[in-house]
Amino acid sequence: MSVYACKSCGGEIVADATTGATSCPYCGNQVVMQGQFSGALKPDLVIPFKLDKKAAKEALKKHFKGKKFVPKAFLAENKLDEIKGVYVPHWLFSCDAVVNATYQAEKYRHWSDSKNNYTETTAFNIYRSGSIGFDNVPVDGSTKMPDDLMESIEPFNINEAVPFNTAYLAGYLADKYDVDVNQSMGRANERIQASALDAFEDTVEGYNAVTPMQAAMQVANGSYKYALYPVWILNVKWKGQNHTFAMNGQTGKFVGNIPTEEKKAKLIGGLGGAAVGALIYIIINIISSL
Amino acid sequence: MTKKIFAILVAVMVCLSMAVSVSAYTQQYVYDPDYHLSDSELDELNNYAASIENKSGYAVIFCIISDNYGETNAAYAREAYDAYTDADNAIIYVHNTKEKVYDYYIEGDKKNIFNDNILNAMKNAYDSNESYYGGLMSFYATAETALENAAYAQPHEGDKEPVTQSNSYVTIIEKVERTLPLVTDDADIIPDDVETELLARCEKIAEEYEMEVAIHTTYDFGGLIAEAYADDYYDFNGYGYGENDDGMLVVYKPGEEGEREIYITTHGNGSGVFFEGIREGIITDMKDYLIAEDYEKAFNTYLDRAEEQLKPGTPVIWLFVLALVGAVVGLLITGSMTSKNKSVVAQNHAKVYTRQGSMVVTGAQDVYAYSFVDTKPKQTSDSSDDDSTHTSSSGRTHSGSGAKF
Repeated sequence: MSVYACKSCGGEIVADATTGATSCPYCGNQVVMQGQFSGALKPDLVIPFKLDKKAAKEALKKHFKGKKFVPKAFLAENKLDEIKGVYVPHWLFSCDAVVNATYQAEKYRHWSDSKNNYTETTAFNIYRSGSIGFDNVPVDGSTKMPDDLMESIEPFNINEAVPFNTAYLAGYLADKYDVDVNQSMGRANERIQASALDAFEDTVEGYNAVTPMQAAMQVANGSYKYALYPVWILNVKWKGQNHTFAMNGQTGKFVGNIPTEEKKAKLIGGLGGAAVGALIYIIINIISSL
Repeated sequence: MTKKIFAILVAVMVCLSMAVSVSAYTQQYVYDPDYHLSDSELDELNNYAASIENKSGYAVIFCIISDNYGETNAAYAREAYDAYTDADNAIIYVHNTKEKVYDYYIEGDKKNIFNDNILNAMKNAYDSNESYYGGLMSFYATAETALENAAYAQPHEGDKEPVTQSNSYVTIIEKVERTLPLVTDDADIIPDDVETELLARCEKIAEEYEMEVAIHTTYDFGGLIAEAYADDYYDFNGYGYGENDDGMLVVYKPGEEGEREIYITTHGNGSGVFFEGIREGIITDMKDYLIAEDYEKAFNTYLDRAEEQLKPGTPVIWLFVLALVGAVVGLLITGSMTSKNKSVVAQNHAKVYTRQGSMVVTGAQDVYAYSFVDTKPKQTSDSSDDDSTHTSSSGRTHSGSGAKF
């Protein structure tokens, strides 16, 4: 924990060690902890918020609309406990992925005569190598934010990013990273490798079946940036539990798991379907007896 | 598009081959683009085939090819049929010398003259000669004999559609009117009063459901296997209801353990109504009564099951099937609905971050490794599997199930 003094009222603000911007609990004044984003900790880029709190609230309502098997009490009683605009620290990785891969591919030819059906299988050994570039693959640099939640609101449009300035933090919360670049690199490489191998497999064309045999990827010309991404976090309280929803503060993409009555859904699906099947049987019998 | 190109190629080939051959015949019957035959041999064969068509009204065409233009041989035969002949009655036989396979396409009102046996005989005649010319002469001679036999056995006006016999000659059986009762207890094992009751039930079923369900017992299959005996008994005694002779016949041969034999044959709509599962169920239900020599219960069970199957309405098993299918579909639908409530999903790819135009393929090799051909026999109508149909000695189609116990 760190202790800061509010420049407006002098009140004592106790915040997490990673908190970079918050509001004073006494006078509501916005406080930016300059030291969290200076020197080596200074982000390279920031994507400013484009959507406001009202848009986030509307998106939440829309998110609930039309969803089935959600407990009625949740829809009626849920309370928007907290809504906050947060600049979430992200590491952005760029590199060239150098790929060497082998595949086995098969072509099939079918024909028949009056006695037999024939299938000719022709197999090929395939080799592909080359490189493909990736830019600004983001990895969440904050342990406070679930990684899958942050990945779910991707993509952000990096072309709208601007050089970092603390002025952008006014009115929002912000955290500095607590997962460093080396810890984040592995996740970026996983995603890059999956897409690089897919791209090279797509070049194996003209076959009926393709099976990857061996694949290796190396990273070249790697670089990284430190950026803050705008995210609206909405915490909905129901039956004493928090359900977190997130909205991309730039594009408006909204995600979050809604409580679902799984057992009820299975019961209604199974029994309802069986009843419809039985009804069809009865109708067929009635028609055939006419 | 491929088909159009193929058709044009074939048409050009036909025109060229027509242009070079000057002879008495007006249509070409033997196509030999690879020149296995001399001109004189080709003329002689064409004249022979022309004489066959003049006599029988049937064009028999033979193609010796090594290139099927990327088509299957069956498709080639079908396409070539349209390209080579305008005749309504024709068979086209294709020998692919490269793939060493034969195929044919057949059309017209003599379609059933060229059954599997005759086609095999024609193929064997062709194969048994060392020269293409000799093989083709034998091929045409066999075809000519088959067509002559068919002409000899022309049906009279008003007769049933002719049927083919599965031998190398063709016979026609005329429709036989049934003179025997629906219950014939030649083995004399059914008490007379029971036989009368069974007969009454059989007649009632025939009247009510337009389907003859018959019973026959015997100690002697006349040297035939149960299937052949049952089929012949059904066909030659005129069993079956209506134009299609719809019906089912159970034949039972009593005996000691291991010698008892039962066979159920079906024909016409009977084969669709009393399908394999039903026939086997009937045999299973009858078995214990037959062993106990309780023929009243055995044959009443047979008629009960037949009536259950014939009664309008859908068998109860379909209630369970439909309910189960409904339940699975229902679960899939609700599963799809609830899956929309979950939107937090980790992204395992980075495709959206690919640098435009950055992909460079520096090495690409596609090396042939090996190839093989998998051959699977087609299901034939002569299969002895109970579920498929078979052809009786009269050439009619039956289905059947049997057991020895």
